[in-house]
Amino acid sequence: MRDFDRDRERDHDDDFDRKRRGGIQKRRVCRFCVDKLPDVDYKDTSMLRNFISERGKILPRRLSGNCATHQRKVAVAVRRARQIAFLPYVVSAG
Amino acid sequence: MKQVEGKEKLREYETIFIVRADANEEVLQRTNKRVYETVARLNGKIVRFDNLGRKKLAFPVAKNPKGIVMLAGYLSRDGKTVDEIQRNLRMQDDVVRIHSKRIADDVDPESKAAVDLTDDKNKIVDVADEPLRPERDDRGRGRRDEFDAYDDDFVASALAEHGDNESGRGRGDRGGR
Repeated sequence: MRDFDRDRERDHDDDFDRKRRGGIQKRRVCRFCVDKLPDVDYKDTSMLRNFISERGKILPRRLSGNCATHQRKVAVAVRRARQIAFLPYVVSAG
Repeated sequence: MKQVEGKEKLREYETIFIVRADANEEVLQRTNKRVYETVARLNGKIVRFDNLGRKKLAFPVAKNPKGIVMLAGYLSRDGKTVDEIQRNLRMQDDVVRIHSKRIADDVDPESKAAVDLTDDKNKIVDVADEPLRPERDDRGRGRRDEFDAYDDDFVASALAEHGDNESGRGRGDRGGR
């Protein structure tokens, strides 16, 4: 699908608009605090993949919902994982 | 290092290193043995030694998309053991990535059992590739697994939105003709 097609479709997507305007209040909780998960492990790539975007960037707190402490730990863990080639530094398009 | 009631507390470190995927078991054995010898020489203690297998890496390292990942956890008095292990591993041509981390301070050496180097740790085991992104169902929701014990819709929708913004071509930027 071309980009502008997708944009047009998104603009006509009522559900999307409602979400964007804040009609739906999403729960934004730190999953590490709530589920009392063990500390962030830089080797656990399947878990860390939840906190990076499709481009390989670290998701901001705004999106990940982490508390400050755990966001910091996740960010460090992602950087460690990148060093040992467990996670990408960047995912190129195409 | 702290002396508590006459007992010496040590620090726990771990070093993860990646060996070339095309290395044979002899090379792996030699490298592993070297780690063990280094720790033993500096009066440390290996408490964990895992062969995480030959797996696909996120990007090619040393022109190879795969690598054999080894993990060594050890107790040591100070960081000199880490330096020495890293120095020794760097001398090995087949080791392409090294990363060390301090796990804990003030560990009682008697609380952790030593791990011997067994033959199965020198074997090369292929590990299945992980999907680069969590798999999505038809509705574009994120993967549901043990980690998603709560409502994950927010992260999934946020990812979709975030991903769109990042596609590199926003409005008014359709690229060259």
